[in-house]
Amino acid sequence: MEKNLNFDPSPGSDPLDAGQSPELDPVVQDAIGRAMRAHYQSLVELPLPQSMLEILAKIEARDRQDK
Amino acid sequence: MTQDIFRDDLIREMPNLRAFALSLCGSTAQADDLMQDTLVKAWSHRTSFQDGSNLRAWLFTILRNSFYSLKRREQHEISDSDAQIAESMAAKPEQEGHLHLHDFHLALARLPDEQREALILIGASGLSYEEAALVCNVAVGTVKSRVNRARARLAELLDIKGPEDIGDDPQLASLQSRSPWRG
Repeated sequence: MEKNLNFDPSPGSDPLDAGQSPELDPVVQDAIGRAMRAHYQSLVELPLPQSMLEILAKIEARDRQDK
Repeated sequence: MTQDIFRDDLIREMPNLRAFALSLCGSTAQADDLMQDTLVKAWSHRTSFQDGSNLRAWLFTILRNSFYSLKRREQHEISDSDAQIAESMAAKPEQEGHLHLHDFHLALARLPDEQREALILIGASGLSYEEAALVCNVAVGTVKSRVNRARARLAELLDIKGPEDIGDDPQLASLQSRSPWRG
């Protein structure tokens, strides 16, 4: 995990970089940006499954026991 | 950082972590497995988290790594996700000219993984280009070009050639209930 936090600036890591996309119209870019944020926000606002919070409590309890 | 603070921060990041997982996966079951796996890993590696760095970016990195190693193991399951999304979609509304969120979601699902995740990280999750580059383990310039390509490809998939194709009332907020993740 830690090794992936090391920044790898090696050029050419993505061969598709060579082809630059043309700039989008700012209005189009803005609409896509808003749709993107709305999409993401709708996911953030979903209620978390109770099991997810229980998992954390469980691993924490197990951790305490091990000590 | 004490254990309690780390736990509280972790809980605070869970909605964002889940949003990122859902964006990557396309299936809630897989997203939740991935998230569970990430929580266990984050907890057991918590001492390697550097105080003052971005916990969201750190968690996203763990989740993303799990996603791609899982994907390498289970290629076939991922390919089912598009069908699953399409199935859970409401019927397409008749309104023309608006950028509907469920159309957007379908288009997003058709992007290559690396373009979609770049757009999510930069365009929605609040990470900087530098942080997104660390999460994806690529150069900052690579993230930038992926974001640009993602936007261009989305415009293409949504058949948006110019401002006239968007309409003057993209009521996206009111369309959030069309999200396929809502029951």
